[in-house]
Amino acid sequence: MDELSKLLVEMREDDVLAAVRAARQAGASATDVIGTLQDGMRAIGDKYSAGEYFLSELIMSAEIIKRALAELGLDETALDNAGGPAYILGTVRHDIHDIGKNIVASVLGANGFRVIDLGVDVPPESFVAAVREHNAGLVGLSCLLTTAFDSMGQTIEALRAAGLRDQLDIFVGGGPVTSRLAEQLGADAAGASAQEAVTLAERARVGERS
Amino acid sequence: MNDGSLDQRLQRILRAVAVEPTDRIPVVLCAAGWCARVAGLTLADYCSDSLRSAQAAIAAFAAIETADAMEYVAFDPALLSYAWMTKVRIPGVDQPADELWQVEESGLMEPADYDRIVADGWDEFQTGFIAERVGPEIAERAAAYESSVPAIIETVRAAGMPYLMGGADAIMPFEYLCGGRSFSQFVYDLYRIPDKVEAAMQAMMPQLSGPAIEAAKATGSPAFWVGGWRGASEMLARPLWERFVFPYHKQLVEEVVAAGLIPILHFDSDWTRDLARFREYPEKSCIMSLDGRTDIRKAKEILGDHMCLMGDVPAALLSRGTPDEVHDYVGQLVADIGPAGYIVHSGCDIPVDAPLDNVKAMVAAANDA
Repeated sequence: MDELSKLLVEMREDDVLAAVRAARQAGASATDVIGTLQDGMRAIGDKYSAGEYFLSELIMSAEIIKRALAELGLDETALDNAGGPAYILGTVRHDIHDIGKNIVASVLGANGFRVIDLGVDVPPESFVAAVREHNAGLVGLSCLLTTAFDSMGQTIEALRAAGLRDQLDIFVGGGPVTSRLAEQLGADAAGASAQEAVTLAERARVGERS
Repeated sequence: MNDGSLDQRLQRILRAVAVEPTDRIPVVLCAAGWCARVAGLTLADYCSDSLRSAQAAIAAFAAIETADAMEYVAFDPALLSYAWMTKVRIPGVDQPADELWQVEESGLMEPADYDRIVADGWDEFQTGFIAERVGPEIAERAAAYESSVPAIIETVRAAGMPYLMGGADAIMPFEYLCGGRSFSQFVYDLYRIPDKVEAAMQAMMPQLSGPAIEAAKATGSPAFWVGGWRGASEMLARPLWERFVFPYHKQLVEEVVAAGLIPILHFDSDWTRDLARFREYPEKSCIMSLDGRTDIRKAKEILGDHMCLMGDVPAALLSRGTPDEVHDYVGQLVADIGPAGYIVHSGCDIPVDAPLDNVKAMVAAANDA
């Protein structure tokens, strides 16, 4: 099983899939296989944080995980996600950029978060509704345009006006977004990368405020 | 503006490129939508006619008074479709009249297209791709822009506005293919079918720079963009970057330098990891333009004697900061990156919502240094 984790860390997609098939044939449970894959994901996350791995490895490993789960007849909901903390994610109103957001969604999902991706050009009221529907504690707002900063602020204000702010950790991210901007908008933190989004979310999960 | 200072301003920039001391720190303005705001145009009006975009640039440059050049003189959103190989939403056409154009990255290219590029060549492939998958209206807009370039250059010259680029640039294969496939799919291709991707990149190279260099010379442009955004170091494992980004970018830069033009390495995102590699580029011949993500002080340490640095006032600061904050930030940049081999500049484009006073503060900090 350690070998499976190692193959994932090395981005050896075909070998990972072969190892998953072999493990199942040898009688390993899906739970054990998933656990090993998640060990690999954590190792990849550590390497990213250490500056050894980059966005390409995060993206490719999330894709390998997805295919490995498919080999088990499962999808990403198998990664403890059904019981994982709900994370409402979206690109705010007046902005349609989604690649960064999609990468964050993929990496969060691979790390056990139950991501509710609202898409792009999302009005504040949709964030409010999603937080209520899923009883979420985590919100991520993405944008690439400085003209969407106001939409971020309006979304945070809408959550506050709806009486939801205190139950939430709200993170902002995207190309021009800075920690200073997060402060100005009333968010809890800015995430500069997909892995940092995971780190911030995990800290929030264990109760460390940003 | 047409007061005889044009040559002096361009000479100041050329001295910075040569990493020589200048009488004052040069400033180059880089903007499209912001020019529309300064000129009092809606973004739809700005996009309706590329000559109007040039007139807006002239108005914006005049409003600043003491900058040394506009980086580019005109714009049409269709150019983004060609660069990104995807659709772009255009103000007044696809979205409200005063909302900024936006690239709609939707992965219109397929894996089979790598073989098509090899078989047909890049020009033929891209022409067909834009017409069939992006939309013929984009091809029409691009053709209209191209035919306007002589009138644009004449207008800009008559106004006495110094400029670095009259309209042409070279984009490395990585950026075209990444935009066309979308980033995630392209990363999968780099791992799964690397030889196919490489074959397509090699097939693209012969057609990427030649005509664009000739077009740049015809407009009297001293400089020429050879940019990078998704090919940034932070995006890619080093082996992928070394195989699929650096050799192609370097070749384009060398072709541009050989043609007597100044490559502007417009680098969005973080290239810090690989800064040392750019010492292999021709000495004192390029401008590295950074957007605030790359560590510009590290760039100074590694490249300061080799290459002119330009940047990197962040978009969020220009958009949301105060004039004093902008002035302080630029003052610190001048102290740390100047005096020789440095040009004050925004990180990528001046954001459309940057207050005029913030841009004036950016320029004033360079003038005051």
